[in-house]
Amino acid sequence: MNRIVTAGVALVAALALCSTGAGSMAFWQQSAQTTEVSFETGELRLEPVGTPVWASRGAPLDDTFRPVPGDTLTYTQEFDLLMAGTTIAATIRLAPGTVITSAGSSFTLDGVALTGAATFTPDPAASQVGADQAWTVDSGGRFTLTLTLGWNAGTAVDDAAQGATITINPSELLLVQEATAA
Amino acid sequence: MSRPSTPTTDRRDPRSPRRRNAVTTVVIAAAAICAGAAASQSSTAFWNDAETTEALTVTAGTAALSLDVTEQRTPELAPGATIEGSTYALQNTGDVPLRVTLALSASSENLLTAATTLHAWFTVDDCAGLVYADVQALVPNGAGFAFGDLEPGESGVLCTELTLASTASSASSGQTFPSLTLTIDGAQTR
Repeated sequence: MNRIVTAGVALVAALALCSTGAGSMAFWQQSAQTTEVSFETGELRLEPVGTPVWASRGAPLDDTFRPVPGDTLTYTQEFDLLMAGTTIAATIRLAPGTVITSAGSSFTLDGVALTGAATFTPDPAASQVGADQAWTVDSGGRFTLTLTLGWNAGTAVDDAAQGATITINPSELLLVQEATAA
Repeated sequence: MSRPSTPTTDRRDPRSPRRRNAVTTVVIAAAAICAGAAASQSSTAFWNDAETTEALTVTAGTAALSLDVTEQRTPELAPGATIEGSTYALQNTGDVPLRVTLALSASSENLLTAATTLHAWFTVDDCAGLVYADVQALVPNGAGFAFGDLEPGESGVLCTELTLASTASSASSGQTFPSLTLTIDGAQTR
């Protein structure tokens, strides 16, 4: 009986020692915590500013406008490029299949021979990637997209295009984050 | 004694209805996830954004001339005589400025056509004054000439005179003029 009591007391004492001394049963140990840290993510967005304008000879187009060979139509739209991120890089490009797909390209639209081009002013990074209307951007800011469509004069199809209805579909402007070197 | 066969319900058996249901559920869920990603235009790795330009629909302009006979004359010519010809109202009814040229043609040639000259000029209102150009001479099937520019909407009067040369052969007497055609052509200038 005494042995049983003695053993029980010893067990309780051992458990009490373990819980209050924070010691290991066999080896020393210590712990530490990292400091809490919060991050705010960057951003990459395009926001149109104001109202876009289709114009010719410096005047906005109205319902009476009738383009003829030699005319140049311009589309002007301002954008705010919101770009934040320590290592962020991106490109802006006109989506394939839009009316203007390469600088100075010539094409026929609804029987009308056109030459098209797109420019960014100012070019955010003063660079252009290839001939597919893509620009590398490394900082945000306001820029203007200008699409220029010139009606080539003196081509064989000009007379046939008299009175034709010409539809210029929307062009999609893509902003895409690009991978950066680690 | 053998037990009657019953449809299996073991999920490990590919023929099991329970297994087929599970596979169908997984396929539907995967398709829904893919469709959701596509609909939200989310990228799988990097951010992106897109904006579109405004569309434009316009109707192309035209280059057009209208010509109406205001006075039809059929002069009877004699050697050395100059007789007033027909007059026409000419208007640029298109959307572009036009450079107008005249040319005279004959369906055939005879002694009369060889000795005939048509003078033409363009005026604002009547054939008394010259505005756009001096009188120009045309011979049948000869070279044409440009007599002026017409802005869109601008109009005027085209005047003509016919002269039979005094040197016309007497054999031309009594001959019939072949059909003479005055062709007016407008070419866009800008």
